[in-house]
Amino acid sequence: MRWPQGHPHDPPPGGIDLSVGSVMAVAGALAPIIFLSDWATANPGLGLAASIAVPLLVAALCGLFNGVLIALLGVQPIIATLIFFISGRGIAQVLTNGNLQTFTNPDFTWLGTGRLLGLPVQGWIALALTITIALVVRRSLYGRYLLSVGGNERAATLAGVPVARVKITTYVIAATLAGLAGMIVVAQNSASDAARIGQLMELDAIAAAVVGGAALSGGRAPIFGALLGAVFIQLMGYTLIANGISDEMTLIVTAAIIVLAVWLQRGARA
Amino acid sequence: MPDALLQMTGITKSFGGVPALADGTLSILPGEVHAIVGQNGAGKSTLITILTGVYRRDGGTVRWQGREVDLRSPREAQAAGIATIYQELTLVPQRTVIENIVLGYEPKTRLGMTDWRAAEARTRAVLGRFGIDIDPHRPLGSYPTAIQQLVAIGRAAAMEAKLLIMDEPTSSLDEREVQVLFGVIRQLKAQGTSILYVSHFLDEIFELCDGVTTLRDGRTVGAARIADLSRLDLIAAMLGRSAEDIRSVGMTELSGQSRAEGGAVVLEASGIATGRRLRKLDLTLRAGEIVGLAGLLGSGRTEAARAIFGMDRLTAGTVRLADQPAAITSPRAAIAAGMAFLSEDRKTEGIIPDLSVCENLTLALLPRLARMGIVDQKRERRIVEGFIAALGIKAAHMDQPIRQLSGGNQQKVLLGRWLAIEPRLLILDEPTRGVDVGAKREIQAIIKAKVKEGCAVLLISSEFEELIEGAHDIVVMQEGRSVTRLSNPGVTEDRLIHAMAAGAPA
Repeated sequence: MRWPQGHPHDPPPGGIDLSVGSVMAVAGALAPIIFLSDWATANPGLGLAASIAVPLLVAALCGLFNGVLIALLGVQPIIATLIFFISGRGIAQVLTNGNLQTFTNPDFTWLGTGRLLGLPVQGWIALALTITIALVVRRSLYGRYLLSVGGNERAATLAGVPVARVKITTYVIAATLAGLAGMIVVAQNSASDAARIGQLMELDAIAAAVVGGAALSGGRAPIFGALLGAVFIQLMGYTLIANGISDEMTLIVTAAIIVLAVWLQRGARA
Repeated sequence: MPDALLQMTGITKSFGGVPALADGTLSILPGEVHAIVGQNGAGKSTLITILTGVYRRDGGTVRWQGREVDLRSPREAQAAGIATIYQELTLVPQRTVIENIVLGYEPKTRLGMTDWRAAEARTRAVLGRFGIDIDPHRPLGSYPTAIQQLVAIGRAAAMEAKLLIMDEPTSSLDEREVQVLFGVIRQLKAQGTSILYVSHFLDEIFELCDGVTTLRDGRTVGAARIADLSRLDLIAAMLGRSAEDIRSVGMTELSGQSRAEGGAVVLEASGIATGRRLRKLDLTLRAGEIVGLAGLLGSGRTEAARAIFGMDRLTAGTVRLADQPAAITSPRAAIAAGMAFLSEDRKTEGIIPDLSVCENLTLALLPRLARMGIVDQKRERRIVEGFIAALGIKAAHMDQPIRQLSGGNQQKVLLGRWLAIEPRLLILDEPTRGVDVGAKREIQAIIKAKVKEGCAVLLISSEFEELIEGAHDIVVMQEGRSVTRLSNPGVTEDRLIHAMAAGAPA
């Protein structure tokens, strides 16, 4: 489960995805480049569609790269995703020449700041994705396969589960959702800062999943737990800051909560 | 009668309101090898985990060396002199034998550093005592399982344990290694160490143990000297039936089958090889027939099953499945072609521990339960309900995680996983190993019924009774080759052993 900005991402089966923040940066940097281009200003409708579709596609390709490395070449997830963790942000900065890109594009910023029926659009997106993913994990063939691969890969292989395909799909989904999250951040700020988008987001995501009760060893995916974990961590952070407690203290308190969550789960598993 | 080293009386323990142990009693004398037997779910593991300090008891008393004690953690139990050799080894394979022997109890120099010279001396003393001749400077993982297990025992001996608990210590050893282990156990016993021996192999218990405690449904139902018991008495006590009952129906549920004549050939393997462990196997299987695969450990039985099921790539020979021209190169393809393979290794190749009974049972069937990628859960649950009833699976409900079930019930769920795909060919690798006597008979009865329906079964088993009573034909393997095929009726234990040892029918 990965929850940058409260957006759900899939649990790679027993793996860890360090590339989340960097993929956010790539997608986030790419979107304004497309809709600010001459072609897009000439074709605003198509331009907007492309500025959403192309970054998502690029993000998906990053996930495909991770997935192939892990599932077909047997590279350890933490190493494979480290490649984009390091290079992704570099690519994003090269794309933008390292500059802060600011823009005004109400259609695009609607993604980050718009409201629908009184609720922020990004809230609707989070809600829709949570429900979709929960349904996928519980009801679909892919979801069941995902949990079985995460829970016991050898047993899953023997039972005829297409393990490599499941893993690759999972990294593609995770990266695509990271791309979406990156675009939402950019839309919120009306600016894209390749150096900052999604920074350390992969760790927040892991923290949210752990607080929500996911097993990092794989095989358990409490989707709503992860949502609660993400909301809880964010809310707590904002509450502490709003009460005049410093950023640094907030980090320490967050860490303490993770320790508490892990400890409580130990009790529940024994 | 000397005073007991350990006296556990009236131990009770419940998990989430479900009693696992209602009245556990266990008494072990100094210097005796004591067996504890019972079906899976009888409460053996619970009693032992309370003794080792992993769980706390709800009620009852534990007296250790005459004093009432309360062991609150594995460390406290170890400090008191209770050491455990687990089924899964818990040592560090990458480190040397010496490091493993002294781990956590390293001798120190005056400067507080580990005194490696003393550590080596201690290691050599222990290994020498058991007659194990290995280089203690090499990583533990470079030695076979049997040696690693002996090192684990050596470690316990070096810690001067008074009671050594062994949980299924022979499950991955071959005959010769078992004899070495038994030698070590007898030596420990001669030195006054008591041993609590947990095993499903009754032969071992009768060969090795002095006393035995029987558990059933969470209660101690008997404690006796081995010398006063017969095998049948012990099985009867475990099952809660009379010895007469069992004598009249035979020892396994596979006995008394008639062969379906003229069944169509389902599988034909000729000259298959996958490497050093499987060099040349010929095998023909017909519908409605059980063919046993016999051989000593390491003769290539499991490798044969893996090759047929598409897990290992063939380096020579062909496997032909009726109406299936394409070669089978993956388990997925094998399943699609109507094959099923129940692995001998339930834990690492069978169960998905955190998934439910239902999800585990339908894993292989799942593609057929899904339409447009969505699992038809109504149908799934109906099918699972059917199997739970038909196989007598004991679970609180089908959504219970499978890891909470006893070994026998886990095995039934896995058998259900394969029966659900209605295979033409069912490969069973040690289907009743590590399973209690009751579940064993039930599993055998299920296999028998399946064969009657026309399924072909390839049965790999180390139990002569199971093979001789169950299989129509027995293919004997030696060093990766099939050497002979014995036909029932007429196979006797002597003939089979002779064929396994010499490669020629007696």
